[in-house]
Amino acid sequence: MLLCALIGLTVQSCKKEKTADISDGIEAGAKDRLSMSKTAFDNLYSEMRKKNSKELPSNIKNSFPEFVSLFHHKPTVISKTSQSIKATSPLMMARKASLQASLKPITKSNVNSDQGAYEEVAPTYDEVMTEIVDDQVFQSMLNVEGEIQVENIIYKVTPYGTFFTNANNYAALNNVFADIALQNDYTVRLEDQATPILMDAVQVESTQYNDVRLLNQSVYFVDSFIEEDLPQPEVTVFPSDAVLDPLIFPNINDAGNTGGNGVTPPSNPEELPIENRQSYFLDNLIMGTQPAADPAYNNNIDYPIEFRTGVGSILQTFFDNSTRYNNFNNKYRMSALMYNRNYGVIKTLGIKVKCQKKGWFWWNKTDAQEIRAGWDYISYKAPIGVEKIGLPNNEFAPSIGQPFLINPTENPFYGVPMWGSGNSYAKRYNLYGWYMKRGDNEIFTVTIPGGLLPINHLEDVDIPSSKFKFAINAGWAKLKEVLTRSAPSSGSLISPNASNYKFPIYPLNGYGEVKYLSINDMENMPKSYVGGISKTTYLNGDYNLYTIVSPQELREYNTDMIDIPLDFRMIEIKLSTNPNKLAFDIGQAAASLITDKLAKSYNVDKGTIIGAVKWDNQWRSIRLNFKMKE
Amino acid sequence: MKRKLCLFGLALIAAHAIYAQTITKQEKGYFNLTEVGYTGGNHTYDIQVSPNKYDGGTSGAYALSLRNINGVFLTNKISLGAGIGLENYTDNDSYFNNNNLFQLFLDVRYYFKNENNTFFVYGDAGTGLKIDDNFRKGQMFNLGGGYKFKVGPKMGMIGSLGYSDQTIKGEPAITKNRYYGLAVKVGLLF
Repeated sequence: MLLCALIGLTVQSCKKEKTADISDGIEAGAKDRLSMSKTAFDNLYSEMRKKNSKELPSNIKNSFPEFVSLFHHKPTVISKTSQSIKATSPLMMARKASLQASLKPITKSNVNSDQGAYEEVAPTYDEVMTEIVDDQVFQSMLNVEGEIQVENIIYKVTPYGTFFTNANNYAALNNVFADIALQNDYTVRLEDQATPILMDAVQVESTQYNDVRLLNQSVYFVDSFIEEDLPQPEVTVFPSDAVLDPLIFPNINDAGNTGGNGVTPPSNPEELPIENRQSYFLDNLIMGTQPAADPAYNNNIDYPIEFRTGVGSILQTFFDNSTRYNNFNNKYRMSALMYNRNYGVIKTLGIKVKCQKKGWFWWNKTDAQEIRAGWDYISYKAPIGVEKIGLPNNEFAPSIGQPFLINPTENPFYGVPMWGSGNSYAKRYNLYGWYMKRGDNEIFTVTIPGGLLPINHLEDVDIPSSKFKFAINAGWAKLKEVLTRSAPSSGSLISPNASNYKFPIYPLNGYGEVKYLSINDMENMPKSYVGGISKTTYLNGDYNLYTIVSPQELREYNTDMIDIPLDFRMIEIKLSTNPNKLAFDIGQAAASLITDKLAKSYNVDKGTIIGAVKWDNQWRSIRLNFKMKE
Repeated sequence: MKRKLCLFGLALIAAHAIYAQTITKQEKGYFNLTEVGYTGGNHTYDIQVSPNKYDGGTSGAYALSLRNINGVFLTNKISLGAGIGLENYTDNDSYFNNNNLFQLFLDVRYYFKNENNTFFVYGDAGTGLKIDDNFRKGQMFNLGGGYKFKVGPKMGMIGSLGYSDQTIKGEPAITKNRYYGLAVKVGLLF
């Protein structure tokens, strides 16, 4: 990022017609490090970029005779930084003592445990610095310690990356640098540009920039030498049920015999590492009894509707009828309409459920005792890939607002356990989460179940929604219970008690970095209890982000119609940062759950609309299983 | 004198009629129109698989057509004809899902002016018969507008854009099997 910034600044400065003198605005007498204004830095860097590399020495030397740059550094002279990271240096000894409690044992490959023997074969710190800073112009502007001051900020380039902080905070910078040096080999980036720098003993916070971290609340750090393209977001290709089932539900699928993972959970979950507690609790869950079906949906007809996009959708708007009917008798009926209108300049989406009476020429609306309208689920799809994250996670700090697929295939499994009564369905949800700030806390929030993944042993089998939704409800409640019970101590969270939040909370790691998971409730649960939801589209290795709007149902009495406009066809959303204001009213059910980044291209993908009418003490209902189609 | 004036008037009318026939091809009497067309739109399909469940969906579809209409001009602006046609409907999703139809229909056209080049509107209504061992049929109708222009002494050419709708039924369980979309046609008028 720093280099990008430099390049950006260089481009800006190149636009200027007249370039300033090479040493304008720079402390010409600076001996230890160059100190300059931002403009001067831009000009100097851009001017030097134009020079031939062979001219650099003379240019720098002529402009700053007393300055010794990293580029001119003599191998025989050891830098102060190099001396400071020796195991016997006062700084390192002080830092070791200070961090003794929190540092993990340092492995041999992980630094200076055998410094003497190591130095015989390994390059020196200064040699690594010269090697790794491959921009010679920038190298010639750094002093032998890898430092430069721009405005009031000191930048210190090291083999681990670049540290920068306010000039009067220089001591803190050196302390953080020493802490990092204690845990990492300075040659690590010569061969490995992918592994994150270890920062176990340092408090790490994310910033508004994806690749910049705030260390110990005072020093910024960017890993300058990590490959920006790595790690790539993983494509979520879901393993087969046969692979997953024994892992997720060992006591269900093998009944303690064969085919399971053969692991006997310990009797005391507290003995388990944090990462494994969820699996333990999930393995020991017992589902409750399935509730009776709602009589409103006993006389139901299922209809499919596919909505085309583009010109096809305009034709469909004007020339096709999406209304479906269920008759009480030959004079009375109910109708349900899922409208997806494309008028060229505007698109509308909504639901209408009516009670109708036959007239002389057409069917007229008439009052019903009760009308219900809503949906079992509505699925949105975003055209972006999502990174997977395991929870708890202490490997990297997520960026604010970034969505993550909570990895269902690695331990711990955050799949929600769902099973129908008396059968061996092994089903689970995938969960998606967003990392966000709430007040003073950084919280990883899992809002609603993400990709809908009811998994069956058979290929492409519809899961009866009666079982499906019951299982969601029960599984979701159990998952919350599990997360709450398995949460480790809260660290520095201001409100450490899970019950103080509307939803259960869960820390992402136990190493002092405060990141919490909250679970939003599925509210207003199952409705129509008929039909099924296909799993096909969710198991194609599609790693796009899916979000499910949880079931909603509106009930009105002594009326002839319910009309629910759904205004999230293309949703514009501001992320709520107040956990008490997460909207769950109709039309906003999804609104508070999606970041701005996703919202502009977040499209309705499929769903099930429900409607029911009570007339003459009889119920009729319709389910419209709709799908948006290319 | 009066008789001479009447004869002169009739001669003028006859001359005008003869003149109009040669330049507009919209005189009372027989005409033949042959058209080829392309329709792009949707195919929507519902089938009742159980008393409480329907299956089906909507997909993109297209059709190629060849039609011949024979008729008469009732006035120099209105024509009425009977048409036969062949039309092939194919789903975009599956080339195997297609219907070859033989169409029988009535055709009505209104030309806005009795001139060589003029706009017109048209409407067709009739039935489509599926060419298949499993015989099916369904109603069809087309509505649209176009432009006629002269290409020879007794020949005109037309281009038109309109809405096309074809339903194919035949089995009780199939509650909806309908192609609809926008049709572009070009034709020769004799």
